[in-house]
Amino acid sequence: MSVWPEELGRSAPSHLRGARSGGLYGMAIALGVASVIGGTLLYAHVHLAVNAQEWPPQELEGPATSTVAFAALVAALAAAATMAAYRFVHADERDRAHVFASLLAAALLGAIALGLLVVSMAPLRGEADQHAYAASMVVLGGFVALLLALGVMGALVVAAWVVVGHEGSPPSDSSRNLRALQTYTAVATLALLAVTAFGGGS
Amino acid sequence: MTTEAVETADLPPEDRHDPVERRAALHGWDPELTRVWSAPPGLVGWLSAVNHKDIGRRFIWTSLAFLFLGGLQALVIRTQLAVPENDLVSAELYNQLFTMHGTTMMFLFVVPCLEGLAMFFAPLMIGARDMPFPRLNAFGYWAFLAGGLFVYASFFTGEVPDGGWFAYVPLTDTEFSPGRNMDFWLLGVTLVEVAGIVGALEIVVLVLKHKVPGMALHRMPLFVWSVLVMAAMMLVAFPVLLTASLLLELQRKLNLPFYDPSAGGDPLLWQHLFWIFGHPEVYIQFIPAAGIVSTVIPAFARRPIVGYRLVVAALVATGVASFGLWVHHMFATGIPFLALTFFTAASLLIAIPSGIQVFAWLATLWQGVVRWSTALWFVIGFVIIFVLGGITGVMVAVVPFNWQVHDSFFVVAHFHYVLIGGVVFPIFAGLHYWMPKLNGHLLDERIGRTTFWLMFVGFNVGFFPQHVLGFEGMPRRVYTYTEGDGWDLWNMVSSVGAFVLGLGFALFLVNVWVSRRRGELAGDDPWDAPTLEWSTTSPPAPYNFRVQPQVRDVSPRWHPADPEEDPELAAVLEELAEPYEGRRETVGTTTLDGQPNEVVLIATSSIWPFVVAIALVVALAAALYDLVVLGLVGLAVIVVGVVAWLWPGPARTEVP
Repeated sequence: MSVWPEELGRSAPSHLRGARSGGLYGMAIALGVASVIGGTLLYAHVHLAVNAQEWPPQELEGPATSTVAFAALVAALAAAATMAAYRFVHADERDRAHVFASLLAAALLGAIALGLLVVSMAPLRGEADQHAYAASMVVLGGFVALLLALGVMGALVVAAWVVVGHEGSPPSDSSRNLRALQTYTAVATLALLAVTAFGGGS
Repeated sequence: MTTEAVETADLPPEDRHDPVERRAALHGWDPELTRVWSAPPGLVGWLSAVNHKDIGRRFIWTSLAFLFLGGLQALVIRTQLAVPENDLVSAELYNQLFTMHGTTMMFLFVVPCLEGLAMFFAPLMIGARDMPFPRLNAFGYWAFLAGGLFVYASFFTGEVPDGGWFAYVPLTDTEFSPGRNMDFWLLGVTLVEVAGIVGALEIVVLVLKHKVPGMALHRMPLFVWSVLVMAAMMLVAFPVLLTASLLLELQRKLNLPFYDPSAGGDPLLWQHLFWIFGHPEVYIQFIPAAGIVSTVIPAFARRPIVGYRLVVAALVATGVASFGLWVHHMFATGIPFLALTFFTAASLLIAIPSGIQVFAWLATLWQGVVRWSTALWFVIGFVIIFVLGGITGVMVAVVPFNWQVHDSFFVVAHFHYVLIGGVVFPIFAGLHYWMPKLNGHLLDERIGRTTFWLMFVGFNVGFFPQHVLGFEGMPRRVYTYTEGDGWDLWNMVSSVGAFVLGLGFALFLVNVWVSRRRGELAGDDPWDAPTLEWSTTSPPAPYNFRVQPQVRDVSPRWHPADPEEDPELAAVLEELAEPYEGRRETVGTTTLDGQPNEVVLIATSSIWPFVVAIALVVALAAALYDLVVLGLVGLAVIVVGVVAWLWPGPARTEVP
């Protein structure tokens, strides 16, 4: 985590400014690793689809596409809420009440998206051990659900930091990283929607 | 600052009972910086340590312990095969031994050892004070240790993994592997993979953000370049195996049929995913080993490496190309002809960047004024063995030849030539070269050279005959053979060689022990080497450098920067040498040209990474034995532990 030199009480010269912090690099790499995991699941899904005799099998009911779409919309709203929180953190007035409210909204929206995702996968209940298609959809959904859960926890933790005065003044990497995670999660939910819509969703 | 060992009795009385003061005085370190950058005393302090040297050293010694366990398994294997129709071990135990041998060497020795070397030396070589996220670094070590012990715990339950280190399905599905054997493997290796990924993340951010001022990418030491490429590859390759392993575990535990063709799955999917990880894994091991070679040779040839930029390009090209070769492990699975052609061409292509490096090393030695040492002997041994392994690699890349020797002892010989010659010899070169920084003492040269010759002769006697055995049709992974097969002589020779090689490894341990007990104190720079790790004490202080250096050349010790060129920057660096409110601070720089652009706060010691790693292994054990409540407790501790780990300390003096 980096902070500006003057906030450390250091007499650093002016050229020690404008850094892209290691924390941001770390977050970018972590999301890159998540992309590899998601990409591997997607590759497995496509590999199985290409090599299967029937994909998806007619007797299986796919995930509810409309519910997944709704989950993607709510996940996007959660991302927007963290963007707002980030903007408030870096606004001159550093309004903690607004930051806290935005983060709480992000957590709530993330939880709703998570719930919707679970509901959307309900048609596959009991079918995941019957066919690789159902298993693959459940795992893809589980991957996105895990991201949503991490986003909810992250928003709650940073909101708690705001309450105890660790976030908002001075600004740290936390809200920026949370924004990156929530945005990534919203995109991942959209990708799941695409797989559901074009790969046998009901 | 120089290393000046002083007797405790020489210290002022008030300093004799303070362990930090005593340590600082013994090594000539700055006492205040030492206090700020040291872990707390006692067992809790030891478990809380996050300093990159502590963690790197633990990675190195733990991985060497696993090397010796894996080596013992290899010796039992070779004893079993020394004579025909031997009944020393059963077929079942033999399967377990070769599985654990491969797993240990690939997952628990080579990569963790190289990561340990990277964690210890990369920050020193780029002038940093620590890794960017030291708590994550500590978590990586505990996760690695826990994962390794998790796999080895199977010996105590009698359910040792037995499906090979590649764990092919359907052999490893519940139908053919109904016990918990492969569950131990899948869950333990997953934990080790997680450790590898967090370590790789650390290394990438370290190299991109924490180089000292002036260290642009084109002035970075080759070892640092190599670990950067290694880490980037790990970030792409390891999550693939992690995902594939989780899918297989889901199939085994919950019957999700990803690899079951009767329910829409495909066993070949495992092979694809495994080798998308597995082939780059070989280069993940080779590339940093090549970086060690590129570090040792200039120091003993007493000149910069020939073709620095070409060598960097070769490292990067090797890393990129290695992701396009995985199918050459699957030539016998009925792949379409066009794919066979493509992957053959790609497999041949990768010999070019490797060749560039070999020529650069030879040219550096040719043009240098060579000073012989054990480290350099290991490098010479590496070049000879690796070139032989590379040639057989080109042979097995050719499809018709590959079909002939597939699953034979020829392949065993080939990959041991690549992995022992190409990786283990450079690691031993590095250990002989860098031991002064690890423990303050030089290794004994006479014992070192005896170690080298035992290993070199033992290795070649042990593994060269296996080429012949492969040509004569001996398959790999068979626990015995009959007298009439005609494989008796070469198997006996191979076994004798293996024991000589094992003697070499044991002698290395003796050398470390002797050097610790009564070895010559190394001083700061016993080799007159060009890179920054030799600018500090042996062993280095917890803060590495009192004043972080500036760099203007790829050999900063031979061509040091003049701090007066930029007095403003020199003043900042001098100011950072005075700890401010007990904070751990280091300078951050831009990625490409190493221009200073921030002061970075580094996390302090914390027990939470240890707690989270333990909770993680508890959760995995609960998954193994279907203990739902224990699993939930483990998950709850993980959540609480992570929040506590990330929670900022008072007044932001402590950062996560």
